[in-house]
Amino acid sequence: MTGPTVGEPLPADGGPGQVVAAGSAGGSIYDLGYRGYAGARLGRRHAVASLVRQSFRQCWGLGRPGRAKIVPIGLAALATIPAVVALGVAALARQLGAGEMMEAASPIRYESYYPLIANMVFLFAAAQAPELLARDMRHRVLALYFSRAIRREDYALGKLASIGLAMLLLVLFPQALIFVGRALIAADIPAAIADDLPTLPAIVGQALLTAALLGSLGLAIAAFTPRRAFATAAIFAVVIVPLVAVAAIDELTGGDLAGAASLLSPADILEGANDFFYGRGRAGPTGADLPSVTYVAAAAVMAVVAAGVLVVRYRRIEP
Amino acid sequence: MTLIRLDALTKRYGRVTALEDLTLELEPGIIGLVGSNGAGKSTLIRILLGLLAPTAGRAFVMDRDVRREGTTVRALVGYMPEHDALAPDLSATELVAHMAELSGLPRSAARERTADVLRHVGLYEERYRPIGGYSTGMRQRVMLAQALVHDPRLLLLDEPTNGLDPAGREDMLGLVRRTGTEFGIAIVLASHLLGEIERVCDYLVAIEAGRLVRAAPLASFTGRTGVVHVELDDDAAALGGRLAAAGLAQRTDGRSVFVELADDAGYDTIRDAAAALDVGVVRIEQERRSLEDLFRDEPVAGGAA
Repeated sequence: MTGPTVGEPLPADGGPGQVVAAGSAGGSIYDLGYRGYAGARLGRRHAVASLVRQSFRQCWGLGRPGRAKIVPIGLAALATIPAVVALGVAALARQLGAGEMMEAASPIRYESYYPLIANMVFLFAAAQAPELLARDMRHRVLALYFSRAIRREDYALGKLASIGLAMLLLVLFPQALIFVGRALIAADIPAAIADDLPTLPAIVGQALLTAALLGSLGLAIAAFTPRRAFATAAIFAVVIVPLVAVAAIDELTGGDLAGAASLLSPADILEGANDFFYGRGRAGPTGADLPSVTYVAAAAVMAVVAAGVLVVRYRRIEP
Repeated sequence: MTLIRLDALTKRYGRVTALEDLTLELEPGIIGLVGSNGAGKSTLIRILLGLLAPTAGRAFVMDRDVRREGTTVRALVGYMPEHDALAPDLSATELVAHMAELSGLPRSAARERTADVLRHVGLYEERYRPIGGYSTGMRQRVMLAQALVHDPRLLLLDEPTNGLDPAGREDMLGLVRRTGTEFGIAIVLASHLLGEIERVCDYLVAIEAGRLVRAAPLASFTGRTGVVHVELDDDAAALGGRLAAAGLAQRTDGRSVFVELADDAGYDTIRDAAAALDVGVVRIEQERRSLEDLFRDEPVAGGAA
């Protein structure tokens, strides 16, 4: 049997796969066989969107067995607990008529929320960036990806978008809880919202910078090894070692050296950027006292460089 | 439409040349790409997919330049790599559906076709289980399914029977043959096993050390030849000498004589010569050319072939 010539769309019923009703009295068995596809082919943009969606789910272990969810969901829970506790205490205090006092005394505020959960965010990047890349490298699945309707850059940047979105959610979710919670607890809801609204750009700005920097840094490192454990250790080291080193340099010498070193330390950079977003003009190690905007620039530069390394790596990788 | 067009395609890795000045035009069909290991088969396929950049020359798939329109080409091509490329923690359904979407199929269509195509390759209930627990045969079926799921116009199969036992090999080749003949999908099947190519393909491209040896319909390689194989119960040199004296091109090999015959009268000459020498003829058989001859330096019969 010869099929239709290549190049012509197959008939919708797929020629040889004609519906064969093999049934008699009772039911019918339909042998549909292989059928051609005459429907839409949405191309590259759809392919990339699908990659981002799938990878975002992978960041949270969705659609995977329970153990894949433990780390991401656990870290997200740890990052959210302070917000829940703060809201609970604030609600209780208001019930007891001590709302004003609590407001002043609470250690949990928008401006201190990022520094409070920074370690959870580092751990998330260290654990989930390798999760996104290692499997495809280790089992050579890249050959299947790269032979489809996407480009290599699409793969790299799609993965970056997905971990960026996941980290944005990680950082923003607790603060969104605080935002909504404070409004609901308040006696005058519109006034409470109006009170918090000006803080919104700072919350979102800091979250974007955090997601971009740690996401791209994590992936840029994870792209170089198919071994997940190595990648996780390396990412964590790249964040923690400079942090400790900067503190030590600051302790020993103080001054400019510590300041310069802190511009290469992701953790210090993000802490400095947080200071910028909440209106502190100066930031950095005690001895250095740099303009806080420097750290925003450092974060942007580091994120772009890391994303560049990631893309170049995937352009050259042998699938 | 030309399926594949190569234009002085060359690929070098440092000082090693993988493909040398390959120029070729192929029409749709089931095409065997044959050559020993390291002949450049995989390199050629990877260039057609845009996975590798050629050092020089150009390659077109369905009249599209694979370098400039890589994503368009790849949306219409299915690829089965020579190595296993499956993550163990996904199920066949998850993997194949995801791959369908990455080829541009909408989500619902991707799921529908995943179910169809997995049934087509013979995976049923097990398709929901993680691939880690599959046998080699099942894994190869998943690989074929992901290559087929977006109903490609061209299927590039790189050693699809790798690691399969004889029965699995049969199944896979049957599946490939059916896919090509019944569904009208053009296929390039790379293999170092001539037998596989002979069974499945109707056109053949032979490359050796990166150079094109020959490209022609399979029939022209394996058709009947004008050569007759005469096997005797004694040394064949004397008979060979007589046949040569009678003006027939021949070659002797132990107890065998290979004779080039122009017409049926040659059979009489052989009979008479054998009778005159009083040697027993075990059999007289028309030689079929086999693909192996392609890679044999020696001509079939005394330089006349």
